[in-house]
Amino acid sequence: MWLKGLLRATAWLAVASMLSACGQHGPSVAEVARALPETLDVPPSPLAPDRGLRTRPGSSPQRVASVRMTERARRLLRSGNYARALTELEKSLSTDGSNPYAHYYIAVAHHRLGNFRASLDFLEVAEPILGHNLPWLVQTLVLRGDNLRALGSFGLAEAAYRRALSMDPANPSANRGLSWTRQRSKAKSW
Amino acid sequence: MKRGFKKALIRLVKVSAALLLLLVLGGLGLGGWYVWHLSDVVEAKFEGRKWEFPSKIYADSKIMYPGMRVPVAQLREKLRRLGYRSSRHQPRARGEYRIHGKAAVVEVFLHDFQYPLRDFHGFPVRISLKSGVIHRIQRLDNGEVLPSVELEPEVVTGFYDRVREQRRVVRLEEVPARVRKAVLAVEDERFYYHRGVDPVAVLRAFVANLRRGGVVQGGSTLTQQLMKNFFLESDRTLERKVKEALMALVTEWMYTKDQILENYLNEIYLGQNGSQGIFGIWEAARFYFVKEPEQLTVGETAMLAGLIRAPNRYSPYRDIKEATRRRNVILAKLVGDGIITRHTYERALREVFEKREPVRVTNGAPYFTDYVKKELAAHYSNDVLTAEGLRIFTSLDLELQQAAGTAVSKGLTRLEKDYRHLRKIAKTDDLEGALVVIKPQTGEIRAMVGGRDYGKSQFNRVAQAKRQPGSVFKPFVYLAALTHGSAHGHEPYHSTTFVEDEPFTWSYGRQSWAPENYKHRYYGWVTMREAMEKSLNAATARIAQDVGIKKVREMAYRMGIESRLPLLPSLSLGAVEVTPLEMAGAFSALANNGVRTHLLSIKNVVDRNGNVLEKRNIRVKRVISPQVAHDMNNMLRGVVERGTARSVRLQGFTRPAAGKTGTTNDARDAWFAGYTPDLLALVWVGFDHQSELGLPGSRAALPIWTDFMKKATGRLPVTDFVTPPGVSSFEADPRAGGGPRCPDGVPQGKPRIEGTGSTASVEICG
Repeated sequence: MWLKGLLRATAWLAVASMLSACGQHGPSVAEVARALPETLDVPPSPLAPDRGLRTRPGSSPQRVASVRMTERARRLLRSGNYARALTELEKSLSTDGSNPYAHYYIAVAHHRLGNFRASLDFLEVAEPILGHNLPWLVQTLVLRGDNLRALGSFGLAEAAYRRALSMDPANPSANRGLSWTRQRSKAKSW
Repeated sequence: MKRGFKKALIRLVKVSAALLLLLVLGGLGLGGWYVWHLSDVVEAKFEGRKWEFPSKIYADSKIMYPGMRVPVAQLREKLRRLGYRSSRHQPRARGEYRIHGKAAVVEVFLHDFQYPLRDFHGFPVRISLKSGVIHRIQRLDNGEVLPSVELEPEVVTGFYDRVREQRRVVRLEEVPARVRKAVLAVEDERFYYHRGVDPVAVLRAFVANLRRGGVVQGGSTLTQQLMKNFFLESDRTLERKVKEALMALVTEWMYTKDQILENYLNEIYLGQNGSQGIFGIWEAARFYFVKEPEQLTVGETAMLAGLIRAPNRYSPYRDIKEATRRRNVILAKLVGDGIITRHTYERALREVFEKREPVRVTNGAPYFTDYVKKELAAHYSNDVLTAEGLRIFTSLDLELQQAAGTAVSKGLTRLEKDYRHLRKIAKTDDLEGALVVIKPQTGEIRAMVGGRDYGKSQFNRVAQAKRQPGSVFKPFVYLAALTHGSAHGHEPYHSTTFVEDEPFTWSYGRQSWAPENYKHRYYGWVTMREAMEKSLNAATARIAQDVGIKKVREMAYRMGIESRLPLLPSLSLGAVEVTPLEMAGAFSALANNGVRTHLLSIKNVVDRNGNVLEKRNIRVKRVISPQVAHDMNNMLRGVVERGTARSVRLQGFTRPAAGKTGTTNDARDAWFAGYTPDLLALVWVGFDHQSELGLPGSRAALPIWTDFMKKATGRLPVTDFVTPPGVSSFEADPRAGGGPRCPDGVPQGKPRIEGTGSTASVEICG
């Protein structure tokens, strides 16, 4: 009798897990958007209001102008005006095509708008340029992980988070992203 | 007898009465039907599409920032084209500007502008210059120092069908009360007191005309004028007058006074700008004063109201004195009617209108706009484009476009002057050129010259002409080598790898192909860099053979070539047909350190109400590694410094640049694709009907490129190519004995083994 009960319970559990896994084949855009603020707002986030984007002394005039435009766009991103921010960032990139911040924030804007592939493409450009700056590199890796997670590529997302954590083990966004990815990955494997 | 006559008379009366009744009833019925018909006509007009609005193509906005070189003359011309008015005092109203302090200070009160997703409200700004370079940008209203300032985009052209009307429809609430009152005072002061036809006005006009012995005054109400404009001809016949009156009565019965006035203010003809009619109050305020109606002064309002009667006669563009006289008459009417105070009247009389020229939109980029139209045609019908008033924002830079057009035109004329054989051929074939300019990091097409003279030939050689690229294709071979290495297991390629430049035969299938160098000069063992710099055919073909022609083709596709490429050995030397635009797109990926951008001409499409219908984003894709792109850029810089394109330097272009010349074997096509870190330009020169040009790319296309780039980059601060972090420079120094020099710490390596199987006697690094 108890064996029959156990079998029935196991069967129910299996069905429930399968259903849950089917429903969770990659998080929705809304879920990702809900989960994202920590990626961008936890210090030392490049989106934090007190952190201005810096240009080195002797930077070209177009770089200085372009970075100021990126800052303006960053404020739009913070206020949730992603489409306008993207337009401003594209202008910033047009002013100085090698402005690494513009590339990064275009990736952020695309991510917020749910264009995860476009976001990944811009990150691929931003990474080599920002590569020499550890905090920025960590941010790009976390955002890469977020995009991959949103696209359902959990393995690659995990790798990106792990790489970010290897450089900044206490990074909360990377830790959170990693644990979420693992959960999703497990749910998928069920 | 008497009774019979009486009976007959009664019958006759009865019949007549019946007939009369029938006639009256018939007349009433017919009249009723006609009124019914008229009401249908009026309703169809009022409820349907009243006007056609041509869509407009805009160039890109101009962003200015400290450090940017801005020739004052160029800025003044730009402001003039945008409709700004020169002022003697500090700008106080939108659209005014002043240049003072020996042209070192430019003050502009920026226009309002509706950008996609953003309404910009103009403010006054001061741009201080030092030796022609912007030193500081500051708002004049609150003193804020700005990092940059944006000038609104210019209209390049419109999409017209049959009707060439400029009109922007406004709601009645958007027209200030004083403008409405001025128009009514002049055209129909009893508008709110009649029912479409004003007997008092008709009587007054009748008396006035009788006294003067001719038609000097009309008695038409504003509603009648609207009916005439909407439906009728302007002939002065009784039939037309009756019809007009009937329609006016019907309209007043069906619609409110405000609805009629709103339609009138949007419908009226108010002048002519070239071939385009100016219609409606908003468009007229914009055309004559570069203002919105709410920004008009009392004097300007009076001048506008005075225009209605005879727009071309009273136009301030035609005769400022006549226009001012007419304005004064209207002002007197306004003060007489109590619409303005005497104080306002006297102040308005003192307003001085300076003589100006109207801003004429001339399409300075016809090939580009054709290209945009083709792109739009995939999503929007011609009806939509000519009638829906879309605003299409593009990537075009009008200053670069102008420089590009001049460079092509002057360059081709110079070639014909310098080379007699070209003049001879030009009698039977057309010597043509094409130039396309791309911002590599965004893919924006900044300028496009598809031919020498658009009036003569509308064929766009940038986007439509399929021509052989010749040596311009070679970088794809080298990229394939740097990326994939040898298909035969040899060591990987890099810029200092030695390759053999000797005649050889490439056998494939049952055929064979023997590449030949220019003027049959062969150099033996050369580095890849040297092979590129000297554009050596034999060495390049050897690399292609070693890498595999399939890999070369795959690389060309990856970089952005879309034309079908045959898998033949001659592909390695560009014996295929591609468009200059494809080629420019592919080169822009090199200029952008291996990141390919999707070519962008249209950025936004916005409807008449400001809704963004379409936004085309910048799209990027890494297609080659930063290391390979860096090696390639270094090699192509060598082409400019020491190779086939060294005349770039001789002609005075000193900025860091990279590029590749191209000449086809039969010398029918000459190319140069070159770039600085900020801008890429590609030039093609050839005959339309494939006559032999007989000149290499370095003589035919390169001078045009240099001429253009000198002008195009002159306004920007100098920037150098940046080595991406983690990428090593494998520099070969040709001054060190002609051979490659290994960087410190890099050991000497083994020589590469080449196609013939022989071993080179020199060593390489790594």
